[in-house]
Amino acid sequence: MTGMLGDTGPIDYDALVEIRDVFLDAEPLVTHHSLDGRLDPQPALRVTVDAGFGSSPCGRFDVVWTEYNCYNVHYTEDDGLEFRFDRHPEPNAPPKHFHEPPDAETRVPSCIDVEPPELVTRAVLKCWRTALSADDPSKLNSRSNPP
Amino acid sequence: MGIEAPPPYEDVNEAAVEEWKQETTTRERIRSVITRIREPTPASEIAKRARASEPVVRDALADLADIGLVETQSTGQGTLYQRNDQLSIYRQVIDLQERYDEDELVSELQTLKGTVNSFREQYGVESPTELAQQLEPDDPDGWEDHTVWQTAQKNLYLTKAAISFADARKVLA
Repeated sequence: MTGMLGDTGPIDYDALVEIRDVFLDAEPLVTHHSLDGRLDPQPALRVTVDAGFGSSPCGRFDVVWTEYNCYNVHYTEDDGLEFRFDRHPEPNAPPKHFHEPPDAETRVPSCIDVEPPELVTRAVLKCWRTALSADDPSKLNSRSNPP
Repeated sequence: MGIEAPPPYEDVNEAAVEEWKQETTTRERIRSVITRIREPTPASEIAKRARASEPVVRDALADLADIGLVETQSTGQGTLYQRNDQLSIYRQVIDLQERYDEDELVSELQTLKGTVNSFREQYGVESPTELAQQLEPDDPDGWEDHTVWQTAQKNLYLTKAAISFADARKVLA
């Protein structure tokens, strides 16, 4: 389940293709990726990365993108750590919000303002890598990465 | 295992834009921006989003209009631009033709009809629009079904178009 609320429009398959390509171009830690067929009414884009927080050996991004530019970028690790960068109508948070780790239950404003899929994907990857290099999930939603 | 940090940045949004600028040409960015624009939009706004200068954007959009990718509209405030929706649909139909043979398209069409009908029965409404009217704002399952229904409906139309296109091609090409 994606947890996206509101009228998001249909899934934007071409955006999923673009997002997959950004993952492959921009992030050398990507090990596996899969995208369901264009006619699947719920096409899943899954990207696995060869690193994780703490003792986790790997993590997985599941991405949903729709024609009204709503999105859900959901990261999970086998030990249960998860977080989500979202944009969609949400009664209890701004449309662009972040579900904090470790369980993605809370909703706080997202540090990501950019809107097109190729920019959101690059921003998510930067946030993830910055937090991962410090092995500190609390840095995931940080706007800056000071020297 | 040590993971290397990305180069330092003040604002992750600006850093994402900078990286995008480094890895794409101006023309690629203009094309990427215009293919997502569905409302008549001035060149200045497209230039802002594509991080390009306005004269370059006007020039590129004129070329894209020549090949039918972009629609233009002259107004008192100057020319407005948006993507050509018909061409966008056509490209999706062509993509289906490349990925599925005709038997697969017919079988997918049946599956999609089944998906759409099961939502009609489950919710007792005729369309995703009617479903939206009866959903509570905080009903994740309902809104997920709404998205899937919209996607199935869109795919159903694209599949029908791809089948008709394949039929026409057999006779006419």
